[in-house]
Amino acid sequence: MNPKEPVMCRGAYFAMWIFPTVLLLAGCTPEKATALRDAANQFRSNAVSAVQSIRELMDSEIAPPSRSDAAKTEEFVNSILSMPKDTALNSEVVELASDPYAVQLSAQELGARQEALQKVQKQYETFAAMFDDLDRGSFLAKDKVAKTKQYAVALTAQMANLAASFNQQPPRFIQKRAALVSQMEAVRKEAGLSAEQQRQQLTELKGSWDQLLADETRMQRSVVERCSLAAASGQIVLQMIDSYSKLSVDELGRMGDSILTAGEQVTGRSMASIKTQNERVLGYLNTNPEYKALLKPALDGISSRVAPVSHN
Amino acid sequence: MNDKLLEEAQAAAEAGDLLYRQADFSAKIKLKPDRDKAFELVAVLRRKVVESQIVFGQEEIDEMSSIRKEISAAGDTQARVIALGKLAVALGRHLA
Repeated sequence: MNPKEPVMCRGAYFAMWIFPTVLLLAGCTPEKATALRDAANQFRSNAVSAVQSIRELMDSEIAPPSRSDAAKTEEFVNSILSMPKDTALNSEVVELASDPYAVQLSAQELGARQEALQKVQKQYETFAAMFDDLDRGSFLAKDKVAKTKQYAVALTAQMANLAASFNQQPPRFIQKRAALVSQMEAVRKEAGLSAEQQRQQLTELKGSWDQLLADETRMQRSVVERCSLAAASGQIVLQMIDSYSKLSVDELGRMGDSILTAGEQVTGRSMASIKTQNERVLGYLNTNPEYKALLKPALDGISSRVAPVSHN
Repeated sequence: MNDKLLEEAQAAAEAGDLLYRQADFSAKIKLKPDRDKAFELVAVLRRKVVESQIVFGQEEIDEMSSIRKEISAAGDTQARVIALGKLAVALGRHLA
């Protein structure tokens, strides 16, 4: 060996051969890191989509049925004309006559809703962001990956529990129901209609009622499906975190790919089968003593954070 | 949260909305505040359904952000080690 070389070459050999070899032997290649990062991003994307569907459900539940401009104007004119002549008009009354069925939630409630949904979304965004630079530190960050497990467990359970909650507490399109019932009552009591006309109109309203129930079910399904899908992808991310050091690049890659097909387990399936799939995820978490122990602080935290309902 | 609370609030809001829709405009003016309260209660209870499942708060979000920084720092260190190695190889070749 050249006398000038030893010190430099030891470093060079380490960098060129030994370090990458150790890295490969440790099973922490950039490819594995990329697979885990991509899976975490898919988990985030599915969870954000679930939060979006929850927001839509919250809006739909209290929204009025759509009406044509002509119908709105006709009701406005009739409302104003129906007011006693000695009652003075003001802008509040005109505003109400213009849009009598709008529901304006208080600023306090709108803020609280926004905060709750943003909080959930931010959890998944922050979770996925942990893995953003993992491919650059695939070897040295190995032990840090293990620290992400407790969050994967909690966030997977959260989506599975949200799916179960919306399964148990379905949406009810309140104003749309009341509007149809009101129309049915009007037909039933309308003296100017013949029996045949009443039957015909009630038959049409029955069609609208069936459509309304189908819309409610579709909304519920959308939320339960998306939360369940997010939970299923969280389970895969959790399995990848658990196996990060043990599995080969190909094995971990295959596991990561399965996240893309997780939708097949829930999309388009019956509500009963989505429920079963969701229970499978919860069962997976609850039967593993380590996951169960990791979940406990999170579940204990729920009861201390949720304030009792107080609304006047 | 009691599962039945939301269901009962939905039913009450629907009954109130039905009365409101069947009322004339003067009665609507009087009924509007109570109707709005009924809808607000439904919104509050629905939000509670979501909040009752939130598993952690800002503290845990901050912890995750710290882990992200640790992973990023490990990436920086690994990149530096590799860069130093490449430099050593280049110098070694140059000096040989």
